[in-house]
Amino acid sequence: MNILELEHVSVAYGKGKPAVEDVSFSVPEKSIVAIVGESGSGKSSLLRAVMGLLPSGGEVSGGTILFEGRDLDSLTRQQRRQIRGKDMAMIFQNAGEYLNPRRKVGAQYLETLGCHLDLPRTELKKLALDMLAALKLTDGERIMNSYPFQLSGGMKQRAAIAMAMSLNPRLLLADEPTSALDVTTQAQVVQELIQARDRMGTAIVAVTHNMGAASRIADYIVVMQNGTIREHGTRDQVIQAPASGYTKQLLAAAPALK
Amino acid sequence: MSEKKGKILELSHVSREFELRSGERLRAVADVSLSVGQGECVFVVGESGCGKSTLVKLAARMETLTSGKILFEGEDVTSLRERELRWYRRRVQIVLQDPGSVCSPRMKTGRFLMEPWINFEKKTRREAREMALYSLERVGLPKEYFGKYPHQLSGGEMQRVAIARAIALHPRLLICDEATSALDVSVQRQILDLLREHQRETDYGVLFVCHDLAVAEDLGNKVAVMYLGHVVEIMTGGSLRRQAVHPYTRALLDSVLSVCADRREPLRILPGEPPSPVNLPEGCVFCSRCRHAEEICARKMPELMSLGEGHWAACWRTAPVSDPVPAG
Repeated sequence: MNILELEHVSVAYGKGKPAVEDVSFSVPEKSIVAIVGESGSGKSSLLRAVMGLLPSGGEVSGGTILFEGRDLDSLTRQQRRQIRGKDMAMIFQNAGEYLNPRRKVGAQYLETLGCHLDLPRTELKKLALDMLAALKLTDGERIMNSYPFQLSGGMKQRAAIAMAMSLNPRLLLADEPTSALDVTTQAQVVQELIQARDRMGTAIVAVTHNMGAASRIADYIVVMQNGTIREHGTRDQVIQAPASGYTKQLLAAAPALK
Repeated sequence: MSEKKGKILELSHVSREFELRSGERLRAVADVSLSVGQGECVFVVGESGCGKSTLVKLAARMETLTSGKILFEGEDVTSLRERELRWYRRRVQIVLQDPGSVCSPRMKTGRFLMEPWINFEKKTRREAREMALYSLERVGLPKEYFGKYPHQLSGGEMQRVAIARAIALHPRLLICDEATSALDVSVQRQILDLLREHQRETDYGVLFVCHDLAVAEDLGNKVAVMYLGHVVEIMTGGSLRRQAVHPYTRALLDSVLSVCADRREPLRILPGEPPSPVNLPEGCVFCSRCRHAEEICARKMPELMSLGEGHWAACWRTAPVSDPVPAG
């Protein structure tokens, strides 16, 4: 069963050339799909279209997006809101930018949980601390009690992953989750995403320009260029036997250690 | 190392401390000695907060030293004043991560490239124009770019323009601070190739700060790894995996996600984060995260010790038994 299916999806901003054109692929349950491509390839627009978070002026101009078999376009705003955050969660490149700088991480965490769970605060807090502990963030109390600026970039990203995973979503969308991080922290976050999938069975769609990260994390890889899909296949197919010239080019350009 | 060809930049025991409002001291760069020879490409790698950008600012004399000495082609430039620094500014050029922050958004590429000729060489506008066109050609951009504004250029093209301006007056030293980190991989490759080609042609020295180990390995003749303000290992170019001995360098290399790595092999992860650089305890800076830490590590920070041609490491585990030779 596919958790997410895109059928001939196009995304356009205004009247110009669409940012994403006729994209179709599906995300099987419990799988990790990486969308790779360079800037301007439309990979982030695609992810935002699924989440319903396109910036103003942007809209899905064609095709259908099916989430667990339901056409997202046919849902009311209310229904959409129930899915967003609970069944479908998202993390961003810069966790610091989406956390409110004037509120403690804990308060924001509990607010996120409280939107979907009708539980007393103490229960919510316990849930949050358990999740942080599960992601091996040992000093959960300190993180909850910190303002975003008091945490490092890696720590913020891991807290964001914890927040997103707490409601046990069926699908996690990750927009460049490791690009703003240092190498050692990148490895930590990649490991965390893989473990989240293994433990909780969450399907993940990760957008990245890092071929190394994609190759480590993904079961399926979608290669995009200028808004269209260049290649789509299992990780081994795309990495070991790329069919498209563009994929080969991307793989060759990725710096590698000897 | 190209000892015979002469050194362009020598940093010896350079330190930079910042005093915080609380009165505590933050050591951004601690006792760093590093040299850049003619035609040499020296990389400084490390993670955010390791002091690599401060080191570059010190080398460019954009920041004052707390202690230590900087020699440029044998001349002491440590305490030159702004006016005397003019010749230094001409010979040492810097390329930054985000070229968009370098060009004025209202200045056309052409004028941007003419500026150094008018300011330093006192050329007329007509001559400067010729030179600017030549600069564009040197970085592989067509003449039409002369009349374009920064917003009309892509990130890669703008970085080319920034490089064109930096190398216009034939500097002796080019400093690159994460010059390719913000670019797409294929564009990054082009820019690196461009730099390599120019360096081969002109024999200037390059000091390149970067967090990408693969880039450092590819381009560097010398790679210095920094952690919490200290240089913990210096290696020659070529395979870093084969050379690295310092536990931090090894951890960095293990963290690089390579495209062709075997996925069944578990990732070796360096847990935790670097401690705060404020009021560091005695002992090795990496001690708190090191798997191999021993009793001596907590007591004393090891100096860089020679392990062979062009290879130094600051680690007690790999310290030679005989008299250690401090790095120069």
